[in-house]
Amino acid sequence: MENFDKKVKEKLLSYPTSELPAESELMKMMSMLDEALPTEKGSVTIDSEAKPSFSIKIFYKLAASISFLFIAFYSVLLLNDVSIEATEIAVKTVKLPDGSQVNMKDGASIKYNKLLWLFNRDLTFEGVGFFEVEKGEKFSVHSMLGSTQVLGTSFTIISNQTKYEVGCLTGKVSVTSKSTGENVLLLPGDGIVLNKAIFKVIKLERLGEPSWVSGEFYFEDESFDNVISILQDQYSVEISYPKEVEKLKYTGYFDNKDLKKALKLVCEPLELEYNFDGKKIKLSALN
Amino acid sequence: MKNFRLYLKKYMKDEVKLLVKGCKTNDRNAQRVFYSIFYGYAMSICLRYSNSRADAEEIINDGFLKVFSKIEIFDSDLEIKFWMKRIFINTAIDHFRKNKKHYYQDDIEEASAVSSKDEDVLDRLSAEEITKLVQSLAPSYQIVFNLYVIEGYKHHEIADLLGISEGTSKSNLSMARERLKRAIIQNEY
Repeated sequence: MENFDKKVKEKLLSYPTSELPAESELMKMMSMLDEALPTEKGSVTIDSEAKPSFSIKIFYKLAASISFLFIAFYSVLLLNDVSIEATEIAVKTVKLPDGSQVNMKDGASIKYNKLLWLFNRDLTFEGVGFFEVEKGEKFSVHSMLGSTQVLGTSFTIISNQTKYEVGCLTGKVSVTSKSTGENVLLLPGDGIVLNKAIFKVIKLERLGEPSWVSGEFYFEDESFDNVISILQDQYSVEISYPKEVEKLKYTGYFDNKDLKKALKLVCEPLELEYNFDGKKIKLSALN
Repeated sequence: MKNFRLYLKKYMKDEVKLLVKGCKTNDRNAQRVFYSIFYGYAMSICLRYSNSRADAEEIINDGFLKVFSKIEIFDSDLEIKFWMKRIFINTAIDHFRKNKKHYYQDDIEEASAVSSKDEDVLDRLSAEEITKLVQSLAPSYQIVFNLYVIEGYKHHEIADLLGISEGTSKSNLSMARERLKRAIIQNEY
């Protein structure tokens, strides 16, 4: 007998307990409750449609908070977007959050996100720039035609629609072509020119900061029109000169700090004189 | 994995505590969720105290009404399931007493000799099948069988609860066993 009882008991107690009430039973229960334990509102407000709305409400709340978080996060990201353009000033120095420096030439632009910078030293650059990168995690510069990755070094970039030129001054620089995916490692003194078709390493002629960063320009037998165009660039002035002086070669030096001094330094060895004509400058032979 | 299960258990317990708290304030939403969560548990108890699903549903709803009316005095540190179980069993007893006068007492039949085969057959039956067989018992046999075998009451307690004599309780129990065994064997063929 005992055994039979035990077995029946075991079986009966193992009856599944996962059954859910039918809607009709639930409604019956609710109306019984309304009768026996009335509330001010009753269960009128939570009739047949209230049951799904219980979980749907949570779902909406969840969806709302997730999208709110997403929007908040995205706007914080946008607020941290930094975009700098070097316009009027000949050389603009930009300090990045990690202490790295970018010297940008007239017309160059740089874009990065202050917040994302904490995780990834990543920036977009167009134009001409000289980079001095603090040691640390990978530092990446993205341009139209290629991208450059370094750890800590200094290098120059010239990027425009047709050309991408990188020169490595110290450390190691890795340059990747956007179109072909080709990758080249530059050692100090190496440079690379990249356009849509070619990808070739060149030896840099001169090591050190490019002259437009220091603002000092040294010339040796440089053609006269080259010298004048640099002078015009540095001071944003217009210089005119007679045809016969075009063939002259210039050896010498000037910097971008004092226009009159620079003009003097260029004119004297070539026996020229300069005259201001409003904003324009006229060069003529000394008599 | 073990930690996760422990966590889940604790989480469920906390959830139930919250629900109980809500039910104590007569919050309809809490009562609705509480009802839905424990409905299956109530069903597993009430089915064996009834002859049909409809009967069981009636006991369940009456039982839940008592649960919600008395939950205010429930001590939240205790296990809610055990507390509810007693309420459902008492509700089943109430139902039995209310309908007792309609139940006709079977003549006590000669208990036919039943082979020991029944126990092997029993092993092969599912909880649902056994429950069906218990449901097929006459109410006066069924309730004594449940109270004595499943719930562990003594005969004099059952006699008090049901308003019958101790002797009736004993004979009803043995009748219930015989009927059940016969039903189990008949079920086999």
